[in-house]
Amino acid sequence: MFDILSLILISIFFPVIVLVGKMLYKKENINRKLIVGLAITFLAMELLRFFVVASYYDGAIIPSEEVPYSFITLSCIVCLFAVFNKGKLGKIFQGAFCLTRLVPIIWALFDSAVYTNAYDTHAVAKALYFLECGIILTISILIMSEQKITAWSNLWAAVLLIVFAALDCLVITFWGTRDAITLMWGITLIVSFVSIGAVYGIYLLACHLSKKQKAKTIDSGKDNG
Amino acid sequence: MVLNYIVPLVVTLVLVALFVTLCTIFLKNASEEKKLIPIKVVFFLLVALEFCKIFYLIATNGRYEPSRYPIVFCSMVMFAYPLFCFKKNRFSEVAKSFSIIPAFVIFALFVGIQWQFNMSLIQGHSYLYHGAMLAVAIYLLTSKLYKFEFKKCFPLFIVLSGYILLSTVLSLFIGGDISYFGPNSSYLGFIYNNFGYVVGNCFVVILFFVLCVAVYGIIALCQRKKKKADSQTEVQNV
Repeated sequence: MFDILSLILISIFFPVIVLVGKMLYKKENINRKLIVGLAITFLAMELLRFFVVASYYDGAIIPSEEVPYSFITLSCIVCLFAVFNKGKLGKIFQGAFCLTRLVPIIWALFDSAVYTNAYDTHAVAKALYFLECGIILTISILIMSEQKITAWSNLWAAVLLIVFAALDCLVITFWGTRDAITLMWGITLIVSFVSIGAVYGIYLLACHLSKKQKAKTIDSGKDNG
Repeated sequence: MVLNYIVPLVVTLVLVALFVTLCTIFLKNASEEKKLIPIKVVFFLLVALEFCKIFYLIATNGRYEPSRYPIVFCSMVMFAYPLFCFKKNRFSEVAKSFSIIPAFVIFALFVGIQWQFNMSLIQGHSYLYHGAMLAVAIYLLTSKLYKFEFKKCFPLFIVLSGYILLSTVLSLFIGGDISYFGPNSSYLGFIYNNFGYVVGNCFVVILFFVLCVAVYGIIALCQRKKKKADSQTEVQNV
């Protein structure tokens, strides 16, 4: 329960702190720098998490069932393409990355095996996972605040999730990370799919509210004039 | 010995020669952007091979060893390609330098001990993987995408030394060997076992310095001599 609470709190408060800091800083065109900085931090933290887990084992030989692989690992690769590829492919990755932002949190809520390790007594790897969830949520909010996410992004996000599901099936079967593809695994996948739509819905609502707010500001400006 | 070592080695060298010849001839008058296409293809091939190797080894061995992490010296060359293939930046020239001399060293080190092992799927993969890196290194030279200049050897040396330092720190942090220069390495492990990490690292760094300076220095001297001879011929013709 404490883990779940920590995960949710960190995931919510990390973006809040960064966005409030950005508002207080009052410097324009800082979005891109923030996104690049956070993406590099995310990559570094994912690598660090891997090495931390490796350091728990004798000779850094990780047993196959304990290799720290989950949706967040795939997100790391997608994040790099989304942030550093400015072409058409980059746009596709941006959409898929932003809309699948709740998926690592959902997998962590449903299956604690994605972030826990029996040797992680000081909870270093766990803390890194929670922080990563917060960081990628911040990156996606920043991307969504400056890029238009089209309805097609839902499809790309779903494709990304299907790719992950296929990879996870292979990993479960060949690495023996879990017993088998269980009912819980299926439910988690379905909830993940639903979360894509939910994030898109929130994005549309935020866009609508933002437009309304802008129109209101313009109207009040006209009245004053 | 013949089937396990000579045949795969010859096949690899033939494939490398074919790749280099065909790419160089067909892209002789092409723009730099087009000349980089084969390297992009090789980059994606190497990434795919790396993923397949990791997945296969974990599945068959039931464990993931540090010598198989994608940050060992052999894999580092692969990470240099995107730095000059997709978008030019201030690291592009160093990345190109890193794709040449280290690729030759890696291939030589790889070939040097392969006679001990029997041919297997993972061995075939290794020949293809290292051969692809060698092919890119030679192609960079034959397509004139890279020009040897003596001043380029220093950034390369700094990058190589940085890698040695980083891999040592990581090895100590995780308690395993991620580099081929570690204690259990079949190459330079004896130095570490006899003299320890510090001396071992210093030795490797000095070795790299000598190698970089020697290769770039010899090529610079040859280029200077060639220029001199050309100018003398021109004077005689006049």
